[in-house]
Amino acid sequence: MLHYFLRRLAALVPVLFLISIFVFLFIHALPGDPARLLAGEAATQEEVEAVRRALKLDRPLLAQYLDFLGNMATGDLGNSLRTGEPVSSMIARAFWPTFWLSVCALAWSLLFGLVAGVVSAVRRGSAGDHAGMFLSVSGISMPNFWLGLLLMQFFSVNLGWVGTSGFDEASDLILPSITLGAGVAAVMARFTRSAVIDVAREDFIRTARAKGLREKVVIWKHALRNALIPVVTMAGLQFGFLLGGSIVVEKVFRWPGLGSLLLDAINFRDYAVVQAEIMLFSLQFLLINLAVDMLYGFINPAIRYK
Amino acid sequence: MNVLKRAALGAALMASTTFALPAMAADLAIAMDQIFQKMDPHNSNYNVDYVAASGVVERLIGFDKNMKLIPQLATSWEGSEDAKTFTFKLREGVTFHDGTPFNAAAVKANFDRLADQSQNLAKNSLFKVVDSVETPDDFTVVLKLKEPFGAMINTVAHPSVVIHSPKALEELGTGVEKKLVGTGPFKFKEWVPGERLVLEKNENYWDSGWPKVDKVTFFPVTESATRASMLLSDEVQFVHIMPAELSERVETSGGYEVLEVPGITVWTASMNMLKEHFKDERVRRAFNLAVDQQAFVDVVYSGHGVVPDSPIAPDTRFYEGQEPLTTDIEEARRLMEEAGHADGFEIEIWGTNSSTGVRMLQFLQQQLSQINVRAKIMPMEGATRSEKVFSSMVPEESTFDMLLGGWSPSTGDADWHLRPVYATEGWIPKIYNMAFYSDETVDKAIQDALNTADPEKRKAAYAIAQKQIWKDQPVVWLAIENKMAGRKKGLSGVFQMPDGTMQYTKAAFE
Repeated sequence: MLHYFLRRLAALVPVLFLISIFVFLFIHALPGDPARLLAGEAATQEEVEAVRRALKLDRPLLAQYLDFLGNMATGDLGNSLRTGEPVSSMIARAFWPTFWLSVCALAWSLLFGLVAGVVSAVRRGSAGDHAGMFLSVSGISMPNFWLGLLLMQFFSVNLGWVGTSGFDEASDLILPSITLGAGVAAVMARFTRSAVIDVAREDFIRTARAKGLREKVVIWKHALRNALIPVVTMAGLQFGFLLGGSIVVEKVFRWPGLGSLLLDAINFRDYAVVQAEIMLFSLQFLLINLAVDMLYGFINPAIRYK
Repeated sequence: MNVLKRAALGAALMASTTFALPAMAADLAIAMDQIFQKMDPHNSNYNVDYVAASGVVERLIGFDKNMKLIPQLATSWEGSEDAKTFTFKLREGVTFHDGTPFNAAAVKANFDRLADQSQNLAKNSLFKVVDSVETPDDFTVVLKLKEPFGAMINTVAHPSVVIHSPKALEELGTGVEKKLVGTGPFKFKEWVPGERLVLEKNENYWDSGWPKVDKVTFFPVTESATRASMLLSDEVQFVHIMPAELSERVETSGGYEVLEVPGITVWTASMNMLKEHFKDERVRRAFNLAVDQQAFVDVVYSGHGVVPDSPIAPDTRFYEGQEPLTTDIEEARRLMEEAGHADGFEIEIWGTNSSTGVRMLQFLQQQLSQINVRAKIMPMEGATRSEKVFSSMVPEESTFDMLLGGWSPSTGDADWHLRPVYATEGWIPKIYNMAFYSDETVDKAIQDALNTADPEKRKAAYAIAQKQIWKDQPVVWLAIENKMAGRKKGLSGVFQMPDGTMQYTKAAFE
């Protein structure tokens, strides 16, 4: 198993290399000139050219790519075009707020999604099932900036229970993680429901019932555990997306995370920051995929790694 | 403040916030609409940066709330007849936060930095005309220019022309953008990019009695609804740029007020005069007659704005009101017919894809359809638009017919509105003349006004330029939008300026 893990880890390197080429090409192919944006709309052409020289953006594209690649290999992500700050320290600062927000959002939405999904599956067709699924459709359909602003108006402005925005203390996590998790909880609930319904039709469930196991055990131990494989896969994907930082939720809640950083970077065509962030997101996705694959073995011992 | 506020939970807190403030009243928090870019005003083109820095690093000359020049670190100033020599008398008894005395040498260090074009600073171009900086005595600074530049006083008043501590400049170089040292009422304490900027009281400020708050914290909050919520929950006491659609929510909540001043940004739809149909003056007049400017202000800014009556705004120096714009569809149709376009023609209008930008485009499209002009509107993401507008190095290759844009003269002087937007030298991509308008009378008047420092002569020259531009109508004039802000009642001395900046150095709570 360790061998398998190491092999998979090594396979990430060429993938990341390919991603670096795509990221570099795409961002440079985008219309928009960072020198012009930094100099400002009111800048004269001379000011724009001065900025371009100062940022070394007047060099050939290939030379810029090789710099980027060479620096990255040595762990240097370069400096922000916009602020001149090292990109690595910007990302280090933005990573943890996004990480904690993602963990909180995923934790409550997984818990809610699993319970709601199983209950709905068991009481299929009941009023509870309809209510649960109605909630999840709402959760998926509701634009999260709207939900976020509603929560803020009610809990911060009207009730004054928590601050509106920013991340200064743990309680600041509450509203954004509810907002961010709403969609995920809904997806997880629907996913769990259908997975459990599928499994419930299997022979081994009938066998479990036939041998006289209590319904609770049948459902939570046998049915849910076997339904978990697709659910865990889905949860892994969702976590990957969450770690990328939700631009909308972070903007509404003034969250100092990766999503806000990416939005500002894209608006200013801050190539260095955008490249580094996309590379980070890709790496996170690859690692989460790997972790999910490893988890399969724990959930279902029948799966072996070679 | 946040800690205190959030430590207590529940309704009890709501009852107490209104009254329990005395201990915190001396702290001011402000929500800005954009993130800070560079703290060093010499190296920034952004209003938010100028605003934040203005409490720490001061200028020789400032603006009052109507953009009139007022003394700051200079007590008086004058320009020579030939507009090539400008003399500033400096304030005595001022000390920088690091203990360095403020004097002519300190000003020279900053002016030299701005004049040295090899520094590649964003605002070096402002001082491109400067030949030398002389210091005949400790409290006199003389700027010698390479050529006449009548707008130099307003250039020195530009919010980027601040005086850093010369010691900080020497020791930190470009690092001053991370740790500003000036003479202002506040000292630079902490800057977490994208999150907050904290300034604290300067106990030894030269203007005794000020400042009256102990701490100022700026939060960049790009989402406008969040800014409103922060104000209404007293996390901030001032919101810079409050969109019109949120102003009602703030006003009806009690305890808060919406401030509104006419801006100096003039919004226009430039008509590309290199295109055949816009070479005809009758067509340009028909376009202005077809567009109902008051309706534009109502639709786009919910009525929070005014209709321009000159190429520049009333609060811009040397403004002269012209004949008011009128709307007359019949006359517009007649002019189009006379010009041989009774059936209209097709055009492309470019703009931005913000909700305001899209409203502007749709409104124009509808208005122009009344004279049979079929407009294709192209809302574009900011950076994309910028690239499409400014990347064609040859004006003749620009493909747009009309281009929406707003210009705000950051020096507050007519020169920095008329020259970039209407002079031949301003043709994009060089500056901002997007109509490719070129008129000898206008070019000459703008140059004449620069060849003298005598305000009367400059005024006369700009009157000629404004009159000619107003007659030629190279653009469809649209609106001057009001600058709006939200403020907690009982707070004074914090307000927004016509140029889109704001002031807070005289902040005081009742």
